Amino acid sequence: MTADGPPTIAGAPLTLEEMIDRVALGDEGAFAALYDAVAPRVLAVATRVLRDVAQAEEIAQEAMLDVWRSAPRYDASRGGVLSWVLTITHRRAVDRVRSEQAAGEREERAGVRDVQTPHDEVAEQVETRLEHAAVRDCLQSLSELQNEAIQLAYWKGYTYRQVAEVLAAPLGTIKARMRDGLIRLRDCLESRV
Amino acid sequence: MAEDLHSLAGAAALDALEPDERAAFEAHLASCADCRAEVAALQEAAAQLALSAGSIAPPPRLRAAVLERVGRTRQVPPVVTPLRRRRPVLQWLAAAAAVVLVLALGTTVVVQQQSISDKTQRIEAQERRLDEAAELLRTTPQVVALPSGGELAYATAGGAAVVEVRDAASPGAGRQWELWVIPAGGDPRPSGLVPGTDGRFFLPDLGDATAIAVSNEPAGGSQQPTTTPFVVQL
Repeated sequence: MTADGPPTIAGAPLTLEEMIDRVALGDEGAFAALYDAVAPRVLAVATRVLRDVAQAEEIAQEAMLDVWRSAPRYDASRGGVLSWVLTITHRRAVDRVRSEQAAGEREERAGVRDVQTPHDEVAEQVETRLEHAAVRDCLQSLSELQNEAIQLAYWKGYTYRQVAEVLAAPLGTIKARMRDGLIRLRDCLESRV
Repeated sequence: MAEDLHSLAGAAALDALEPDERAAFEAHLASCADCRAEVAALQEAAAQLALSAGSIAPPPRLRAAVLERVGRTRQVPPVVTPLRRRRPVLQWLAAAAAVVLVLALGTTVVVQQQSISDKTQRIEAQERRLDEAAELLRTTPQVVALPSGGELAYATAGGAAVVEVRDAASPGAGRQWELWVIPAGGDPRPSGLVPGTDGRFFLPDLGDATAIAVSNEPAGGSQQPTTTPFVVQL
């Protein structure tokens, strides 16, 4: 099976949902099209969490392979394809951060931890920038504790216990703020659609 | 205990659980539909955060590496759900004009909550059988000509099967060939859509299946055959 260009029906490009349906049946051509559609997002998430280009590429590769392997179990009733792919990517990236923390390697790279995620501004479309602005605005509508708890967990890969330690807050409070913060974030984003 | 786990939904959606808690939480999810729905909704919100990371064009070597590995990586089998018995198979077969053969296999499809290690072992066993079946398909396949052209090739090993539709006739505009597995005493199960005129299908657990079949269906497939299927005894 070849991987040249996205497969199409009567010339119309496939949606992510149509691609994943085909990937679930072992269609490598459809997987190549899916890769082209989502890999820039996957790499951006891995880079933001890992803050290391080589490791991010490694994790992006593992995540895309997970997508291929588990496509037959993708369940559309539990969310969109892109969310599913990025959820897989995020978990892989966070697992890597944790295993490094365990091995004590991460601190050695402390110097590069606060490097800004390089954005590919050329590839980034206006629509994408609007999305960023919406997420940024909505994050600002959260309480400081909600915002910090979510950001530390999601981008630094801290467990909620580590977050509680860093923010000197009770565990129960942190668990609750993560949950109600995400709900508020979702409601805020929905209200802006 | 359950209430305690329930309060972890937000942390779970952020991948912020300790490893042992993640295992307990996921075990809890398997038995709690409300919790699954809540985590799915919170994960959607977390995915919005992920989108805010933007896009980074991956280097071409990454694409090449991923596609190369995909070519030699097996996919997991779809989740198999227990089949509801409705009509006796003979009644259904009488309705199907082009019955070729029917065979009975022993086991029953049962996927219930099992421990994760049981599940892993079971999947590994299925994978071994699929490997065997794939090897048999390569060396000594069963091959049956399809009435409209092309052929159906298959091999079974210990309740697993690998099936190939090869060089079938065009299904027609807006239509697709669909593969079915027919259990003893039940309706055909949709088991895969042929992308075009060729397709390869891994069936990890035939359960009490007695036959496989191919029919011409509207693109996207049907839940039950809407044209007379071509039935092959395994």
